[in-house]
Amino acid sequence: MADAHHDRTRDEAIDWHLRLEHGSEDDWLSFTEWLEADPAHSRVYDSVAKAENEVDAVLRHAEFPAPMPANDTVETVDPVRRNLWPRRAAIAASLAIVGALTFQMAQPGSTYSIATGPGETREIALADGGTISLNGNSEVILDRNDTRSVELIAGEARFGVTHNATAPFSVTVGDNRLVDIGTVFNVSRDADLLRVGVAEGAVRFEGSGQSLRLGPGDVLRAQGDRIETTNTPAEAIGSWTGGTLVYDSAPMADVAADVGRAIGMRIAVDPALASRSFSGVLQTRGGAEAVRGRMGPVLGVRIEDTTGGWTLKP
Amino acid sequence: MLLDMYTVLRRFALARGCADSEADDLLQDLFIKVSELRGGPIANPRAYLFQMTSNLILDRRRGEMRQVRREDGWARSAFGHDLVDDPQPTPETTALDRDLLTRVEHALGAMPPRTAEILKLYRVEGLAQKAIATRLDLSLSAVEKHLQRAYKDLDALKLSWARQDLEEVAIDG
Repeated sequence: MADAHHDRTRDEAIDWHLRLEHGSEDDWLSFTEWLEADPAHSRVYDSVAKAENEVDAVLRHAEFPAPMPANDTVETVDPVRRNLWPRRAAIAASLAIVGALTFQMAQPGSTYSIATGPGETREIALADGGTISLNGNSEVILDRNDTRSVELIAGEARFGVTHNATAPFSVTVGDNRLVDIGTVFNVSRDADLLRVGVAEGAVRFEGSGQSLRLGPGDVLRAQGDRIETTNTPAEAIGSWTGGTLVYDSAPMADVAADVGRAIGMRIAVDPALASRSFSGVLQTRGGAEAVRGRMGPVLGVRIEDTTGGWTLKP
Repeated sequence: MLLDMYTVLRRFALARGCADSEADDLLQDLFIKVSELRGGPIANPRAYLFQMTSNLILDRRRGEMRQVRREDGWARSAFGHDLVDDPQPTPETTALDRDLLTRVEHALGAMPPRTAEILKLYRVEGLAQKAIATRLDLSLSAVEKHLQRAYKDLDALKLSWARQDLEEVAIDG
């Protein structure tokens, strides 16, 4: 029952949750003491964190009151031209989802799209028990009549699929196709660059007249007709779902694309850095500014503001 | 520093409701993650370790929650719902979702405009509180106050929605 005591605890949990986003060590120690004061506090805190997730899903579809005119300009939105600006993409993506939810009968055919805005991620549960984790600025097309095939239009997704020999799961990316052999794998698409990594099981890559079998730890990069495979620790594949990006001699452009997707920023790479590679780990939690602060020293680059995003410079 | 922090982090994990063995597991996970951090300096390493521990606990709780799954009406609405589970909402669920969306929008409209704006920057656009403070030229604690207000308004709405749902179930049953 929601008595006064419960409400006060809930308010305190909310205050803590908001404080801890930028909490100091002292804040964390005081929070620990608050938790220890009553075992119920930890449960209320879990409930507040869970409510935040659920409310987020509605907020993404909600129309907010017009911002105060003094500090925001009115932006026109053309839902057809997406992905030009992160902000526009966010608005258009949420339009697309609202459209899919509310006006399904108006959509032709049995396919529908699920898209995320910059920095937004989404878990999609498949009817057969599989899952798709969709990274930021990404879009997949699903088919109501064929739950075993998915098309990745843009961005990145991690697939955990149940194996069924008679109905293999397939992912289409442009002209290429990936067919699972029972598995967890990660796929990203940035312009004409396709990257596939296998965490568990195996995947068959079909494209450019080739068919390749990828096993755990195998990473494939395909750009036009150029295809190369490398190897990386399997547990690093798809680790973005936990807010961590792991690299072993990765081109700077790959790192920029991944970080940009995670935090909803367009990140370009100065041509002088094109041949530089990176090995190491990057954390993408804590918002764009925190990531920026971490990324410069880790990559050994300068980060400059440029139109619509950042540019990495030597 | 890790060993030095071990005691306080373990105490934190226990206070967050972890059993002894779960706390040990969790710290093991954390230390592996930290040892993989080959990168540069972190501004506030001790607070950062707490943050990482807290995130690991929340991730685990979320995993457990997914298994229990969808216990209240809010989560069963299309917003908490995965389209694939039930791609064609029934007319009732659609009406329910519209009702939910309308109520949330009403609550947003009832907030001071600045508060709603800050909530949007924080939850929809994903800006950190510090970045919002910089952008709007406010103090960090002012941003925090706005968000406290917004969260409490929406939380009250969510609780009343959950109660209404329970009553409906009771009537149906």
